[in-house]
Amino acid sequence: MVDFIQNTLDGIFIGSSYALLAIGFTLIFGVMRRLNLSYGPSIMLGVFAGTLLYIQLNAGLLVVGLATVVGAVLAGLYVERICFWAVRRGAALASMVSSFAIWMQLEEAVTIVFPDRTYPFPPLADFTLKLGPFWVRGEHLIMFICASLLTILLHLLLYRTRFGLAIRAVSENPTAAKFMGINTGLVVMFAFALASVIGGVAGYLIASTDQQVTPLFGLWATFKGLIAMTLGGMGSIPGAIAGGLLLGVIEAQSVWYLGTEYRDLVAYAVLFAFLVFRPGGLFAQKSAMQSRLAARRV
Amino acid sequence: MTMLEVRNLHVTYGKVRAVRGICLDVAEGQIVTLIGANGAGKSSVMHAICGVIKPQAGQITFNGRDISGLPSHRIVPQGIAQVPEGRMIFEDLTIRENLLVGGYVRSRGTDDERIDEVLELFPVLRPRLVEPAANLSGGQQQMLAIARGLMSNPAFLMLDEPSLGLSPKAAEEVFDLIGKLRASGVTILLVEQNVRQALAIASRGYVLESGQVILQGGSTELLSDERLINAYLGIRRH
Ligand SMILES: Nc1ncnc2c1ncn2[C@@H]1O[C@H](COP(=O)(O)OP(=O)(O)OP(=O)(O)O)[C@@H](O)[C@H]1O
Ligand SMILES: [Mg+2]
Repeated sequence: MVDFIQNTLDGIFIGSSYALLAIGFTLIFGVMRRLNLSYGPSIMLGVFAGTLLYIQLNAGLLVVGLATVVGAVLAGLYVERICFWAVRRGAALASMVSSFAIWMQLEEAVTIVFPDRTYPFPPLADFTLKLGPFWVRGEHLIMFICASLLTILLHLLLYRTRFGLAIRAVSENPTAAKFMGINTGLVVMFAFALASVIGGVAGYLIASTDQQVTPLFGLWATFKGLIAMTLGGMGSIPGAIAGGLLLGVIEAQSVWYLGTEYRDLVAYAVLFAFLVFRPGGLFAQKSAMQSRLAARRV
Repeated sequence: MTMLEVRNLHVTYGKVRAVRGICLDVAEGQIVTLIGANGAGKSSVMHAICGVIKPQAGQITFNGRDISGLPSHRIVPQGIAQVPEGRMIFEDLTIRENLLVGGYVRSRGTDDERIDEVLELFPVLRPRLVEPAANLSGGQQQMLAIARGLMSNPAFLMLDEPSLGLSPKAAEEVFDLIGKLRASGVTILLVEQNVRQALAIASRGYVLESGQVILQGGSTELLSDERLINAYLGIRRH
């Protein structure tokens, strides 16, 4: 029982970073109704910007963190211009495929500049707390606190500001938002930048916990974010949080009870079960159902 | 004084030529109605005016300023608003939030006062401000759509089939409201399925067919025009 609770705690802590990735995915999916497969790789670029400053200039934690976020935002906006703005009127599939192409491009670019497989990333904290029979790693605690704060800030932005209202309006119906005189292109760009800030923070927290980075981080982040978002329900922020935490806990439990090699297998199995039995995810979007009701009301 | 002037407007969607060289004028304080069968291009004209779609050619002048080809976020702040066909309410947002989005282009800080003013015309919405808009009935949603369109305090309002799908009583209310809006000085471009009622309230009308104006004139003239009677008012005579 102690083990189970310990695993759950670890899972929730790690899962909080998955939740951030899923929130980023869901924000972009919300305003675009398209998947941005390059989301992970654009974060990876930011993480490497951080690592570059660390290796070359021995930069401090704050500078590395800032570089990671700024790098992720620049890469995210680059992806937005190329894959989404340029093919805005094209099919959703075109955007997804081009976001895959840009993924490869970003990964290649990083591999050329950083030819070794792994690079060091500065650790955030080096302490462990003991709470009764349970252990909490310092990095995990910081990860959880940062993720919670960022989520609260995002909530305030979305629900307490004009621009947040515009993001929600565009997410629900971009055409209607345009009728209201909202600059939807700008809102989309801002949502991408916001998703990249969140992703950058997540990337920083994860990389500093691992204390190393590889170009495969992009693939990893895209997978974790996508799975967590799908478990929670695409386009729903509470869903993204729940999905991230759930994925973290599932992984932690399967590592403990089945072994590390089963971690991804179990995660995929759960994903598959969700897709079959609850395709809308934990927080299946009500809006689809409501619009059907409204359509009938006409 | 002419408030809106449309000259030789062309709108295309890929290969479909929806609007083919339309000219129209709306004088300040008037209600002007566009009449035409489904697919005649009525909505396309309105979309081009408010900048939701970019016209392929032609000129649109509003209060003497050329607004052709501008995006909606540059046009709406000049005092043009559209209540789109099919309401397009934000169902996930509350009624209050819908109104706030409608007033998005306004300067900050006076939202609550504007909501108050607008709700004078829509008392049914007042007690329900914090509810999600999805809770409203069809007629109430239409009211919200119009209220939202008024939030930006437009000088020129376009209403695209505002009574579509409403009960006769609710449709009557919408027409009453349009009358009130005109009385308060709003200039209106109206598209309505109910041509007789639209002409009764409008001062001028344009009849569109396949993207072209085939007939135009004052309402009383049009109401007695043989071609219009045969094409659009005929059913009523049987
Ligand atoms: N988004 C679009 N893509 C392609 N074709 C379109 C689009 N919108 C309208 N059309 C076409 O343009 C033409 C004019 O359409 P429009 O919606 O302006 O007509 P309307 O007079 O408003 O019709 P209704 O009375 O049915 O609302 C039609 O042939 C329609 O099929
Ligand atoms: Mg129409």
